[in-house]
Order: sequence, then C-alpha cells, then structure tokens
Amino acid sequence: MITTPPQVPPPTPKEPKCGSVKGKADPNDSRRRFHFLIEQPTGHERFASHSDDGISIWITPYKRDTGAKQESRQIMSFYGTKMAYPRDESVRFADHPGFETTNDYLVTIEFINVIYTGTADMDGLTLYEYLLPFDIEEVISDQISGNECNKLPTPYYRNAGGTGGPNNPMLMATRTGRVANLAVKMNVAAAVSSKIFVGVREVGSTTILGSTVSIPSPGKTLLTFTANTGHKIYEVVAGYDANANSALENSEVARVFEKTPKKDSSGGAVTTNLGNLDKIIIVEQGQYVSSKNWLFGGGNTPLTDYAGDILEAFAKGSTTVTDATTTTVGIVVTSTHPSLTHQVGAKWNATCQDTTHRFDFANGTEPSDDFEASNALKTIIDTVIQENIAALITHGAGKPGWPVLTLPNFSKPNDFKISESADIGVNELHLAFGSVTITGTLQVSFRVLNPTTIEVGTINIGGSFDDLYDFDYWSGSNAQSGSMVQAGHASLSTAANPSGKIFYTRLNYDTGWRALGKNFIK
Amino acid sequence: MLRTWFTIPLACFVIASIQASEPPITVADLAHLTGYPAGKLKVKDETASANEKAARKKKPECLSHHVYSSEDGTFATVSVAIGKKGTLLTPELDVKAKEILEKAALTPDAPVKLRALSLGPGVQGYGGLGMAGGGGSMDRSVVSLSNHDRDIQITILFGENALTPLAGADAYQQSIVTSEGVNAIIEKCLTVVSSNIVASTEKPPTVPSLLPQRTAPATPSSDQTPMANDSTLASTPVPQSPAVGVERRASVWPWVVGAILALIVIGALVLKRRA
Repeated sequence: MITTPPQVPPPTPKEPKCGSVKGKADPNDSRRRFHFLIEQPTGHERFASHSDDGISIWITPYKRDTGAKQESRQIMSFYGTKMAYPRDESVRFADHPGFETTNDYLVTIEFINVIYTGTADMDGLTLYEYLLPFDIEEVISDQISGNECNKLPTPYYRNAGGTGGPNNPMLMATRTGRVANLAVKMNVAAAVSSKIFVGVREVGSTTILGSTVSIPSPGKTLLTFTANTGHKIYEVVAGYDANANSALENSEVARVFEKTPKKDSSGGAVTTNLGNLDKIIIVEQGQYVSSKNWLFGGGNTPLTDYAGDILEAFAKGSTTVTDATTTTVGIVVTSTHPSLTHQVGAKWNATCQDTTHRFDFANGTEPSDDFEASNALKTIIDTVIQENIAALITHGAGKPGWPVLTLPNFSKPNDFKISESADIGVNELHLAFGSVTITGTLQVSFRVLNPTTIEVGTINIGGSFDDLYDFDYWSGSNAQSGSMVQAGHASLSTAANPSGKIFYTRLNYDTGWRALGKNFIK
Repeated sequence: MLRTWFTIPLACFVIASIQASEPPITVADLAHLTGYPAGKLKVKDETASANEKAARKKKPECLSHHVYSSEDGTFATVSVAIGKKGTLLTPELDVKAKEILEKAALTPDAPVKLRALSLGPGVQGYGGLGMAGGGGSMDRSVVSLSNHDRDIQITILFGENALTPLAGADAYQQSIVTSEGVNAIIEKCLTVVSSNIVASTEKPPTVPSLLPQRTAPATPSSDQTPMANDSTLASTPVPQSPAVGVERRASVWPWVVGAILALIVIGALVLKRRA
C-alpha cells in the first residue's frame, strides 16, 4: 500500500554549499535502497573521516514530529588517501535490520562529519535531493560585548588602493591576558544544532583551542578560548561531534569559515594570496604591551618632530600633543568611517559609535609650516590657478596693475608619501597625516599679459585638512605595531592610559600673501 | 657637415644629463634584490628638492637623493640618500642611537628594533630606525663609509594602507611587511650602494666614453663583502656607476664642457668662413 507522505514542506531547494551529496531512492527497490552521489566537496581539501583518510556514512533516523532519534549506525565507509570523485554509492537498509524507515521518520545522514539533513520519503521514489548543510555565516569579534562592529565576512577581500578596509583578516585583541572571545552566527537546523560544534584553531595547527555547541542564527554562538602568544592568525571551524564528547576535535572539523567574496574593492577576481581569507588576527596582552612600549619612544627613530609626538600620544592615550594648539573632545567616530582600516581603536556601542578627540594644529605650528612649504601645496596652487585661468583672464583683462581674484573653494586629495618623497630624513607630513583631502581658498594677484597668458605675482592661500589617525596591520612591520596597540584599546588599555584610541587630526594653514612669480597659459 | 657640428655637442649634452642623474643603484639591480618586476619600477632624482627642504629645516644637505617607486601602489617606496660623512649619520643621531642601544642592553625585555649595523670594515651604522604614524610607516638604515667620506641612508616607505596586490610579486609583498624581510632588503641595498661608492672612489678617474657603458658585474673587494655568503648579492650586477662620485664628476665634466664649447666655437668659425 502506498501511503500519502506527511505534509511537511521540504526545505527550499538550493545548491548545496559544502560539496554535493545527493541521495535518491532506487526505483527498483524504493523502500530499502538509496543511492548517494558524492561530488568533490568545495571548501574542503577532502572529506576527512574519523580516521583521517576516507569517508564514513552514518545514518540516524529520527521522528519527524518529536525529533526522537534512533541509534546512529555507520552503514558504509571508504578509506584511502585519495578519494575519487564523484562517487556513486548505495546502501540497502535491508542490510541493517532495526532501522525504522517509514514516512514518520526523517534521516540524518552524516557524511564524515558533515551533517546533511533531508526528508526521506521512504514510500516515495525520491529522497530529498537538495541536502541542507550547516554553515558558519558570520564571525564577530566579541572583544567587548554588545556590538557587532568588527566582523567577518567583509564586502571584498583585499584593498586595491584607496583608503580604509577591508578588515580581512579581522584584527582584534583578547579581552584580558590571552582569553579571546568570538560570537559566531550559525546556519544550522535546530534539530541537529546540539551535535554541531564551533571551534577555533590557529591557521596551520591541528589543535582546537576551544569549542562550543552551536546555536542557530539569529542567536549567537559564543566562543571563548585561550589564544596563543603574540599576534597569530586563527580560523573558525565547525563540525559534527561524532564521538559525543561535547567538544570539537580536529578530526571532526568539516567546515572552515569562508564567506567573503573572492573579489577586490573594484570587483575584480582575487585568485592568489587567499590564505588569510576570513581569518582572524588576535593580539594578546603581552604583545599589546610590547608594541605599546615600542611606540612610546616614537618607534625607534630618535630626533623626530611632530610625527613622533603624535605617535607617542596615540601610544599613551594622551589628549595633548606638542604643537597641537587645541584638543577638541567629544567627536563621534563610527566603525564605518571610510578611512578606518580595522574596526578597532574605539569602544563601540550597539550602533558602532564612540566619541574621541581631535588635535588641531593651528597656522604657524611646525606641521602647518611644513605643509605651507610642501610640494603638495605648490601643486595645489598651480592646479587651482590652471583650473580657473579662463575666469582669471576674463577678470583681469583690461584692468591696470595687479587685480586680485578669490578663486572658488577647492578640495584636493593628496598622499604625502608621494608628494613629499624628497625628504631626506623622516617624512613627518607623511607619517603624521598620510592621505588626506585638502580644502581651502586661493586668492591670486595677477595681471593679464595677453589673451592666453597671465602672470601671477602673489598668492594668498588658506584652509585645512582632517585625518583619522589609525593603522593598517599590513602596511609594514612598524605600522603593524601601531595596529596592535589600536586593536587592544577597547579591552587591554587602562583608564589612566587609554592607549591605542583612534583620533582625528586637523591641520590649518594660511600662507598670507606671498610671492609666486609664475606665468600660466590657457 | 653642418649637422655633425650640432649633433656632437647635442650628444655630449644628452649623455652628460643622463650621467648626472644616474642613480646609485640601478632599477634592474633593485628589482633583482627585491624580487619585484623591473618594468614597473621608476626612479626619480630628488636631490634638488630634498636639499631645498633640508635647507629650510637647517639640516645638512645630501649629495644625491633618489626615490624608487611604482605608480600603482604595489611597491614600498625606496629612497637612497648619499651624503658626506656625518651628514646623514649625524653625530647627534649616533649619540641617540647609542643611548637607545645601551638602555636596551640593560633592559632586555624592552622592545627595540634599532640595531647596530656592520656591513664590513669601515661600513658601520644603524638599522631598524623605524617609525610609524597614522599616515604610514618607514624603515630606515644609515651607515657611514669611514674610508670614503660618505654616508648612505636607505629608507623604505609604506603608505597608510597595505600594498596593492600584484601578481608575480607575491613573495616580495609578503616579505616586505615583515621586519626580517625589510631589513634584508635594506641591507642588500646598502651593500650594493656601498660597493658602488667604493668602486667609484677607488677607481682612477678616466675620461668617460661618449657612449653609455654598463660594465660587467663587479666583484666586491674582500673587505666589502660582509654578506659574501649571500648568493643573491654575489650574483648582483654592480655597475661602476659614477652617479655617487659627485666629486669625481666635478673633476671630469669641466673638461667635457670645455671640449663641447671648443667644438661649437670651431664649428661656428668654419661655418662663418664658408659663408
């Protein structure tokens, strides 16, 4: 007798994400034989079995309505160092007496440690073809609780120029000592979540440093573990607790977290250097202190000026800097600030905001004087005059003497690393400010020499630029030290020395009238 | 005939210009040392601009300052400055560095990247003169060639963001962001540049050919091979560049200029007589 299958809607068919394991009942033996087509898994080097090299298939029938399970049985196993894919295997339930395989039951099919769940329609002809894998959806830094500001995946992988992001691998620090905290969002069926464990290991290591049972998303699986010393790179993994010891073992790992698209900021495919994709750099307290102490002295470069002073202020958490004429406090900074590379260096609230301060360098201070003598400003003056030469000629045509015209406000991007590369010693402007957008107003005193040429006698230019003071872990080993202090700010700094806090800087400039003596041609 | 009279002085002038801006280490050599594609590297003579800045800051000027960079952010900018002894490794810097190293010796737990450098007899200085800031970071080493009245400074600059990935330069890009990698590159550069200086100052001055020359790889003298076991260095072509021998150029080029002027005068006279 053919019975009507229970009206349980099957999961939405979708392409399996973890390889492909499909089952079909054999039309010639629909009740008792299933075929499994096992395709090459993606995201795994191989299917690792309990004994490292091979596949084992376990089936656990459980009641559709109550979830009550029967005993799990290993019904098949294959061993060998190199498995060939795809594999077409079949199993006869008749060979395993005692299994309940009626329509009241679903089956949990375990391939190695990967759990695939499907409706096993025992009286029909097909086993549910699209099998539902569990997956790690998000990994969130839980360095300080109550926010989801520092997390993976990121919108893209590596930075192809520009400023800020991506924070991948994600930089974070321990809460205290070497104790690190992560929050993981798991896509896992509630029925099997108690057997799925989430863990973390150092990249390249087989030691699971900590694990915990998964909680289906939108809940968070909170993972606490002891990080290794220094600033190592870690990965989040998950798998089926096959030996039921309530801990994830390396041999049980079936999933390694990887969600970020393999593309760069311009959308181009990234095919190399994918080893750090969706990994986590964790800075422990000893490393934080060591890096901070190095920064205290302005790195190891003696005789630096304001760049060293600002660095020391960052390392000490000081709100005063030599040359900074004022400090403005209470300025909001958000974790999504476009030039913030790593979402660390602040104690983010639930909306990913914190307040910080800004060092203002007034006109006449050393940074301002340096800027006024910089190639950057020379280039801006030339560029702005050239952009407005038509207006200047119109304004000055027929006028005697040296007429003055105030040109429209300008806004120009500049990278001090490039514009001031001719500095013999420490390029203070570059180290202190980096890439900024310079705004200002230019007044020009000039005369028209002919319908296409003007002579600019003097100029008067003033304005400002702002910057966010933060570090990129990947921008040289010295910047790495800065980034690690920044990473530790939220949890490892003290109230007396809130080291590593990101802050703003603002440089004001006003040259007054000064000679230029240059011709410009339309 | 007329064309010849103008071509020769023009050729001399062009060659003189090229010689005057020849960098202390060739792009090809730097590319070889770093493992970065030579075709993407460019070098710029920033001596005049650097000295202008130094003068404004009342700091010693240098003899040459060259900047090696790429246009696409895939290379950490390398600057090579050469000055008279004491102008780059200043007495003040020397005192401060010694103080830091002495303090570090007393407190082994204190992290210090600064280290004394000895690249052979008469080539001493400091490495690990690192610095960072919100705008980027730098690694700097400076040595004095005590027997040649020269200081050499190599600086590697990083922007505020990581290098833009470049296929084929993976090894370079992974190495340069580590202390070990950047130190190794700087020391190799220092060795090549110091060898070039030694070669140019010890070689008897000769009137240079009017044609550009590139000599066969020079073997560093025995007292200038502190890293002789480094196969990369051993195979590095070392041009006998006169670029750093500024004083030598000063003694030779007046003769060349004189010769050019003489040719022009003779040419003018011949032309006048024909007319």
